[in-house]
Amino acid sequence: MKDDGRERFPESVAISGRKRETARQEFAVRARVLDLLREKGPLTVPEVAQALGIPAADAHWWLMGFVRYNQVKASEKADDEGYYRYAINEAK
Amino acid sequence: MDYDVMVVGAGIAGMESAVSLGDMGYQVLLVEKEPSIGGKMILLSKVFPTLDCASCISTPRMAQAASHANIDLRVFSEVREIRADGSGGFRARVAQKPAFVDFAKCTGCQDCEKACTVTVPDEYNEGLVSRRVAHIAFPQAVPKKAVLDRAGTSPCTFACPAGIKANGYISLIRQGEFAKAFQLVLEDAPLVGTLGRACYAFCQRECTREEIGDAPHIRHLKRFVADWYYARHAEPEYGPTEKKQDKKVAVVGSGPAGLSAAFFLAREGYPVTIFEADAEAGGMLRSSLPDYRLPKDVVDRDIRNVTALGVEIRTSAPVESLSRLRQEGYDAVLVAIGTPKPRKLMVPGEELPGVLSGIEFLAEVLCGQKLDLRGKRVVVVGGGNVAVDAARTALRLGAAKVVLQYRRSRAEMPASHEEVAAAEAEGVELSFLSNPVAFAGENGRLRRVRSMRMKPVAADSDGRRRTIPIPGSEFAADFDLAVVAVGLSAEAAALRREMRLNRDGTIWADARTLQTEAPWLFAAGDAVTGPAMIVQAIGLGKQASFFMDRWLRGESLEGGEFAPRLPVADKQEVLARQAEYPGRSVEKSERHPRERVKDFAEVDLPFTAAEALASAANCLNCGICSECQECRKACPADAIDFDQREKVNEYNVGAVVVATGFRLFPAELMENFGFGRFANVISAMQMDRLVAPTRPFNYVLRPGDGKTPANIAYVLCTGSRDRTVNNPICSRVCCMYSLKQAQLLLGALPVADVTIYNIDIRAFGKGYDEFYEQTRAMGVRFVKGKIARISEKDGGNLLVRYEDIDDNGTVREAEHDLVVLSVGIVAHDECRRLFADGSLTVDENLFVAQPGRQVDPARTSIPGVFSAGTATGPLDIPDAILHAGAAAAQTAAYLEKMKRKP
Repeated sequence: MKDDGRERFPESVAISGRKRETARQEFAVRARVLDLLREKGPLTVPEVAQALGIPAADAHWWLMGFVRYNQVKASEKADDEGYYRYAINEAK
Repeated sequence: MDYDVMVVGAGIAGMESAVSLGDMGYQVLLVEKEPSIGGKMILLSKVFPTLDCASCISTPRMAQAASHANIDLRVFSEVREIRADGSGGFRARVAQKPAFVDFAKCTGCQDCEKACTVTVPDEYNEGLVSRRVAHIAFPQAVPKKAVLDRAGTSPCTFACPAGIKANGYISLIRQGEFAKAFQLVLEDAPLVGTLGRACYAFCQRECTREEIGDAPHIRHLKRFVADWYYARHAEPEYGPTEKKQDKKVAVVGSGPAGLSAAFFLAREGYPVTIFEADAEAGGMLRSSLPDYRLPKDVVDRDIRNVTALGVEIRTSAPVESLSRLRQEGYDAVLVAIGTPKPRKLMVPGEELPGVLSGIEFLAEVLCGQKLDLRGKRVVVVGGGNVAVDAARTALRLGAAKVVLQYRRSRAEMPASHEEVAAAEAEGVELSFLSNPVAFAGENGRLRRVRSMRMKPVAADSDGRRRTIPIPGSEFAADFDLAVVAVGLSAEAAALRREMRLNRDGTIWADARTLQTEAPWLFAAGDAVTGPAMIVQAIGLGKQASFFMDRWLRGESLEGGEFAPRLPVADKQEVLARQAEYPGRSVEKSERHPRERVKDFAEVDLPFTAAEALASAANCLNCGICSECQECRKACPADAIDFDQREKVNEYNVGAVVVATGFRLFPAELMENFGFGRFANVISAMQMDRLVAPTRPFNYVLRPGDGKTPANIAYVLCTGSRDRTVNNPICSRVCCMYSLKQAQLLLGALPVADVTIYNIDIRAFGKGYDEFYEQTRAMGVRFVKGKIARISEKDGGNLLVRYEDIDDNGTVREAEHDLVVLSVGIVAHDECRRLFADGSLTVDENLFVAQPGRQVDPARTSIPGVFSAGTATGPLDIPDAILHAGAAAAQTAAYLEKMKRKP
């Protein structure tokens, strides 16, 4: 079969497209998140989200980025509701 | 023949074929478009049904492929075109994409990644977390080398004549790194404070965000970092550079071009002396820019950025002879004398007291002469920035009435429209399409200005409409002061004997090198171009310094490329990257017009730090990489190379193996399932990352709120066996990888409930059915039935609506806190584009066709081209490896046959 111009499946935008905005904002919110954790941490994702008035999914995404680059560390165990607590990584 | 065979794609199948062929003694070119080999397998957690670690199986193969004596591996490379050469072989064009990292130097330390200031979704973690623009693909990458994502030069940076990396310093501001932002601007221009106030900001005009609103205030951000830095550093933190050159340079003129050239030459270690005719350095910055736009203490501080490098500025030192400078021991001379000579209207009465040029008027005021215009009527003639500055200055000196008279229309004014609007707000009256024809005096002083109405006619040679007087339209008005600001010209006549001048009096210099006819003599700034913007003069000063340095080193000027940069990023592509770009409106503040005309204090109020952060946050990172240079500064191996460019090579190869792999079905096409809309609906590949040893989070967490999931659902056949999405085939692996993940989840989360919604379970391979039974025995619940819809509840849990086949098709709903879509496999489009003539045929599902697959696996429609692994259709890993072995055997047979061909 030659290339018949049949419609191909598009690239997934859910991974690369929609998250781009969250990624774009990551450094812009970093100081606020880190200041909050410094003052009131360790906190769960919903607690961070509530304190800063941001969606929990975004808060999680950003926190995971900060964990990845060792600015934030997670608690060893989750609480009874299944949430880990995040704090400034003092070892950084 | 350059290579016996080219293998396209270095996933598990491509590596297998390449290593097999290499082991047989064939010379193999292995081309991989990603920065690392390993394909999708290296990103998996474990493999089914043995639950062996995918990395543990992949990495030895990756190491073998990378280090094999007979394999030439090209990562981050793309095959652009393959053509048959007519003799059984092929000609291939392979592009080496620029990584902007010298792989030979890169040690894989990731210091660049840690320093990078721009984040993007990490495609190697399926968008579950961010990565930096400077990055190493994943921890087990082979080769372990960093790459930088760049989509061109950001329009703001590209537009700057001085090459100031606006995207870069905004990126640093966004991080709160104000000092670094200042330093980044300083790398490209010494007059940071001046540009933060008085630049007409080409960057701002080109900002992509201007098209959608909430654009960052780029110039104002530059002012913010200059103010922030100068408030903390009254003097520069550096002294003369350690580099020492034995040749001396003289610069004539201390305006922006001269200061800029001196700065860059001094940084290269040259002793530089600036000769300035006026009593103070700064040129037009000091003598014609009013303080309300540019306070002179800012100019002073900017100039100290230059003198700190050891540059000597001799003021009140006019240069009469350039040759004499040469005789005095200066090896090269730069002439940057600007355009200080005002043009005249050439109308009667222009010599009357009370008629001044714009430059004279502004210089008098700026030199501290007390001009009292209280109650006076002032007309300013001209439409440029000097005219607007003069008009606004007259208001501040108390003039009762100031008229700005221009012979063309408002739209044609060369002045900054922002400045014109500010003048109007302050009370300057604008009079268009009229021009003075005579200045009339009374008692030896200007009393009246006679003017004519003008009308536009056809465009002049420069493309601007000319205007001509309308007969009989003369009118007159009384004025106490007339300021004529109709243009400036170079005052280079005194140098005519030593330099070639253009007809307009500007200095002739080579447009690229800025070298004049005398090799030791260069020229830059307005003296070459005619009146231009400060930032253009700075850019030319920098350009001249670059070529002067080459000349002084004895290098050819032909070979030097000044300030190479990538093409400008496409704005439409930038806007198309995201569905929307939410922004926060940040307005810069200015003093009220009624207040600001009372004095010469600055009109624009500075940003607070919070305002600067908010404005910077609106930047779209058009070029993806902001060029902040932090990676370059952090790299201990000096491996970052922003000047890398794509290189395309051509190779003759005897055969081709297409191992381009597959793509995953884009789950958002199943709109009822909410992928991309509901944070806790993820794809199975995302789950594989969550349970992989190199997972993005330390634990298995749901993305919606970071909670440990306790009740997880799998939806099989998402985007496969489904004609509604045009993918009717079974992907062969979804059932089994879902079972694998279920087992791994039960290991990680022993108390979790896992439900697998399925049409049926296809467990056809060796050990697969046993694996299925084992999974059931572990407590995984299997529900036979199609999913109709997934909806999200408050709190992020999901309601799965399904048809329960085992209960007579009853429609039910079940609540889960995480749903995993087991997406199908679809063909990769890439393989069809490889062959320019379209001769590689594909099957009905767009996978590479194998016309004789029953007895001749891996052969394609083109003799000498073979296909390996999932490029031919869905396969599990063992089958893909077997298939790759078949492709290697077929290729070897073909090569041997061709060798024996007469």
